[in-house]
Order: sequence, then C-alpha cells, then structure tokens
Amino acid sequence: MKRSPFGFLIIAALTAVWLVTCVLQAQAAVQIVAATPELAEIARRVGGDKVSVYSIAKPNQDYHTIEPRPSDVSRIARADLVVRVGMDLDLWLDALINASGNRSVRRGAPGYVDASIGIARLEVPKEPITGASGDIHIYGNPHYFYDPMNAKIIARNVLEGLSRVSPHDKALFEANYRRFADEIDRRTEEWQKQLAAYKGRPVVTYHKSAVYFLRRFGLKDFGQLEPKPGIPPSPAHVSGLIRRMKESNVTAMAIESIYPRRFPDLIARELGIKYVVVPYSVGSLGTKTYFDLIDAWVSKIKEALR
Amino acid sequence: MKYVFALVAGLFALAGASQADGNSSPSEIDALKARVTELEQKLEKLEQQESAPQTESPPETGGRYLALPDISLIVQAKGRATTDKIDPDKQKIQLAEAELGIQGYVYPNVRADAFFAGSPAEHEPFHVHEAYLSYLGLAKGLNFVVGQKFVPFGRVNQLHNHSWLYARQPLVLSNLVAPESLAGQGINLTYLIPTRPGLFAQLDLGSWANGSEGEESNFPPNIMAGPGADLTDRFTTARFWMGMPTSENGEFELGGSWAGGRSEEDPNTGLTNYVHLRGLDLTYRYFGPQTSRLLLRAEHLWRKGTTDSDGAVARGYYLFANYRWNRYFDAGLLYDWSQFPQDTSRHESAMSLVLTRQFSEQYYVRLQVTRGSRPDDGSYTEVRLQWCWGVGPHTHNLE
Repeated sequence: MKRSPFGFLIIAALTAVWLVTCVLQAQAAVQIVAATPELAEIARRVGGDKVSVYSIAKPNQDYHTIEPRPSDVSRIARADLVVRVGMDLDLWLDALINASGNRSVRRGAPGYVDASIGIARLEVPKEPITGASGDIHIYGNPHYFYDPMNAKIIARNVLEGLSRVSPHDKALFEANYRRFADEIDRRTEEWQKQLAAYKGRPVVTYHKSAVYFLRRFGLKDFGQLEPKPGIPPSPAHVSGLIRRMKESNVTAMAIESIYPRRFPDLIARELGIKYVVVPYSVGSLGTKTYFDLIDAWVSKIKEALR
Repeated sequence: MKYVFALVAGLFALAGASQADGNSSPSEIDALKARVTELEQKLEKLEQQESAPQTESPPETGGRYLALPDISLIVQAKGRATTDKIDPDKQKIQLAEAELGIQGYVYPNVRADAFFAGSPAEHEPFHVHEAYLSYLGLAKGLNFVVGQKFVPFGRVNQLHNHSWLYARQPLVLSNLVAPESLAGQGINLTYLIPTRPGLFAQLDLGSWANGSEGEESNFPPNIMAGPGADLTDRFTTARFWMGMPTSENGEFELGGSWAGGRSEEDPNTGLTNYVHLRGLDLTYRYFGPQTSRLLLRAEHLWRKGTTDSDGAVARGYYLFANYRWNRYFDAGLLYDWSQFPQDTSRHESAMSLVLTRQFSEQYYVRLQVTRGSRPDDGSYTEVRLQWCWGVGPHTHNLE
C-alpha cells in the first residue's frame, strides 16, 4: 500500500496560493515590530504617520516569559525594523527572528535596533551569577524603560534605526524625536516636582522593576517581595520583609500590575497600610501612552508615600 | 573619595580662617559664604559622579564576550505510583533523562544546535538526540536544516519532553508516532508563505532516513501497543501550519501533517512495512491579565501500515486544556484515545489531571494523576511526579 503525498501537497499548495492572493499591496509605511508596548509607543512617536508599529508582548504579559505566537513570526517576516529591549530580557525574540527568515532585521543588520544601547545600566552583576542568584541578567537590570530620561535614549536608538531603513524621511523622524524628547524633558520636570517632597523615602516593590524609576526621582529601593529576581515570595522572606518594614517605618509599597496580590495583601494587613498597583505596561490599568504610564507611576507612588 | 576629603578639608580650613579673623568685614563674610556654597555644590556633584551607574553599552553582539556556545543541562526525575500491573517501573522514582544542549552560530546566519540525552532509568546511554545545522534566511522566508532532528510532524513532535505541559506523552502519539518524538536524519525546508499581516502560514518539507524506532509493549491478552510510526528506513514529511490572531490576546492555529515511508526489512518475516501517517491539529491560546493563559489543543492522527494486522487505518486523538493563572501555577486536563495499529478493533483511553508549579524559568515540579483503561485489562490509576531543572541558556526554535 503506497499512498502518494500529492493529495496533501496539492491541498497545501492551493491553500498557499489563496494565502498569497491575500497579500496586500506594497505598503508605504515602514513596518516596525517592537518587543514590548513601551518600545512600540516610543517608536510610534518617532516614526509618526510614516510607520506602522506592532508589539509582540501585550500589556500585562511578563516580559521575561513571553510565549511567542506564530503570527508574530509573520509580522517579523514583513518588518523593516525590529526594536528589542535587549540586556537579555527578551531572549524569546531571537527564535522569532530566526523563524522569520528575514535577514534585514537580524542582529547587526540595518533593521535591528537594540534599544538599550547607551543606557546607563544599573545593577550589573559584579560577582559570578548562578542559579541561586535568581533570574539575574548578566548585563544588568533591564527595566530601564520606566525612567523617562531613558525613553529619550530609546527614542534616539529608534531614530537611528529608522534613518537607516528609511533615509529619505530622516528629517521628519528627527523632528518627531526632538518633539518627543522636549516633551519628556518638560514632563520629567513636572514629575520631579510632584515627588520632590518625598526624596529619600523608601519604597517596596514586588519585582526589581522600579530601580531606574526610583533612582530618577530620588527615592530609595527598600526591597522586594521576591527574595531574588524571578523567585516567588516565600513566607520566611515575607515575614522578614514585614519585620524590616516595621523597624524602618516603611509604609510605601507599589506592586506591578502583573503580580499576584496574596502576599501584598498580607503585608498591607500586617502593617495597616494600603499598597498601590502600578501599570506594568503601556496599556495596563487604562494607560494609553508612555506619558500615561509614567504619569500613573508618579501619581500612584506619590499616593503610597503620603 | 579623595575629592570629598580634599573639599571637606577645604571647608574646615575656610571655616577656621573665618573664625580666626574676628575682624572680617561683612563683604568678606559674604564672599566666604558664597565660596562655601560653591564648594558645597561641587561636593554634591562629585558625590553624584561617584555613585553614578555604569554607562557603557552592552556589546552589540549581545552574546558573550568570548565566542563560547550556549551550554545547558536539563535533567528530569520522575516518580510513578500505579495500579497498572504490567508497568515494570511502578512505585519508583527514577532519573528519567538528562539532556545536554550545545548551541551557537558557526557562521553568519548559520546556527548549530546539538542535544545529547541519556536515560539512566531506561539504561539508555548518552546519545545524539538532535544535531543539526540551520541556514537562516536562505531566501526571504526560507530556512534550511540538515542533520538529525525531531521532524516537523504534528503540533508537538518538535518539542523536547521538558517543554511538554504534561508528564506523559498522549497515548495516540506513543502508539502511532513515537514513544517520545519522531526523529530522522536528513534535510528539511521551511518556507514562510508571504501573506497578509498577522496571518502566519508555513510549509515544511523534509526528506529523512533512519527514523526513530517505536516501542512495543505487550498488553494481555495478545495486544501490542505501539509501535509508533515504524519509519525506520527512508521517509518524507510535509506539514502546513497556519496561525491567525482572533483578537489582540487570542490566537488560533491550524496544522495538517503528512509522513510516508517504510521500515527496515523485518529479519524474521522479510517484510517491509510501508507506513502513512496523517495528522490534523488545532490550537487556541488566549492571554489574559496578570500573565494568565488559556490553551486548548486537539490533535487527531491516522496511521496505515502494510504489515499491520488487518490493514485498516488506526486512529486516535487527544484533547488538552491548560490554564495558567499566574506565572507560578498551571493546571491541565488531558483526554487521550487511541486504537492499536495491530488490532484496530481495540483501543485504550485515559484522562489525566496535570498540575505544575513553576518555581523559576528553569525549575518546575509537576503532578499528573491518570485514570486509564485498556481492553480486557480493566482500568488503572497512576500518579506521576516530575521534577525538571536546568542550568545554562537553553533555547528552541518556534514551538
């Protein structure tokens, strides 16, 4: 009994032909695929109406453990520019780029942007790291995008990438970048005024995502619910944290919106405090833009510090 | 720190000078105050500089500073308590598998992946699980692979067992395809068909030799489970895989697979088995708030071999639902049903509840409780416990 594969192949080929007919006409817009909603938002600001932007991670997904989807591959295959967080946060992006067979967005190609280039990195490990260190990133803490001044560096990297893939629109991208950077400067001044009264005050978070933000606004990172990055809270660690918070009279706790509330609720009950939930992504908790994201962080942390 | 000491000493000296000279004029005092303020500002700047973070950029190559490949080890220990009388491994905790991965680039756009595995529990020495070279982006959307690889057949055949969402392979896959995954030595072309944005369509075509051997187990009375695909000689594979978003957070996938080839000649009977496998798979994933995720999957397989006892098509399927409610916990329900190629009038089925506690990206513990039934042998209940841990960077292609 030998059965020919042609039946299957004919069906596959017909389906393929049908799919190819679905191809849209060549688009004028530069296709950008960003790893996260924050990078997508910033890329949209710099590219303006000359770009079409798609984010692989969706709001409220943990950026460390994204489950790539097949449709993401097709987006990257058509992309002119890929913008990644870098610093080993979005290692899942490499499998997608490989599967896409799109050489122009591979590492080192003109359409590849590592948004972390030029960032003043914090918490770069100075000692050898092992599995016991938790999910430590060898290039340092990768949550740099919560510092608004770093958004300017991200935007600058996107600008350089866009200028490479679409040089005839360079002047427009530069103007957009300048507008975004000025807006960041203006708003950062306002945000700093809002938090000025709380300089030096300690804040507790769930994961080490806030270190860049806290440093920018002169606040102190008191500790995390996770005993080590990526390691879930243990009762022993949480009771130790409660004790330390009591001893140091720490009352501000900000929980990133993707994390469970069981232990934050427990700490709040034990200490008689109210914690705040801060948006993990642009798109979380009703935020629509990067400015909304930082606005929300500033107002929520101010609320926690009151 | 030396700047700080120098400035503090300067401040003391200035303060001392102003105290010593009790007859200083108001203008001199003002000048000294201005000087103190200026020095204080300088001191603050220097302190800020000292505590400033590192400003160098990460290397653009993104990998390591040395041209070392990514080396990883993933180990699984499994324990099983069962009422299944024919299971030789019941009531044991065993080191089920250790997998060593070596991955890296050997040339621009050419990637090498090799995985070696051994199973002390099954007295299986370390052997090459997969070793292949991938030519990435040979042409727009075209990748080419040569070497030994888990072949693109069905939705989960290319997954390594540490990436499964259950502790035991669905029965239909072990009976009709392979005890773990169907592997072969040869070449494979993957073409990403250009479609409208967001619509994924991929075609895989492969030509292979030396496919994995199946595993047969005798169930009384006279039923032989397995033997997998039995494509131990040359065979070809084709798979068409589509994916489309149903919403911003949902994705639907559809796949069709075909494999055909022959087994090596049976030394006892002198017969060669010509086998055809077909498969259809559906997957739906929905990503909710706080890293929650719902996965629904169904896969139906058909197998026909020329030396199968009655020449009929053996078929089987599984239905799987998995819900991850946060990054630490997920639960799944698996129902599987499979006929035996040697006797398609009989089948076995099982229902499993699977709970997984994910401690970190590279460490989880899983509990699987199964209630199964086989013809004539009645039903059985088994509890499986699986520990899986890994060290080192370990990545796979799109899964």
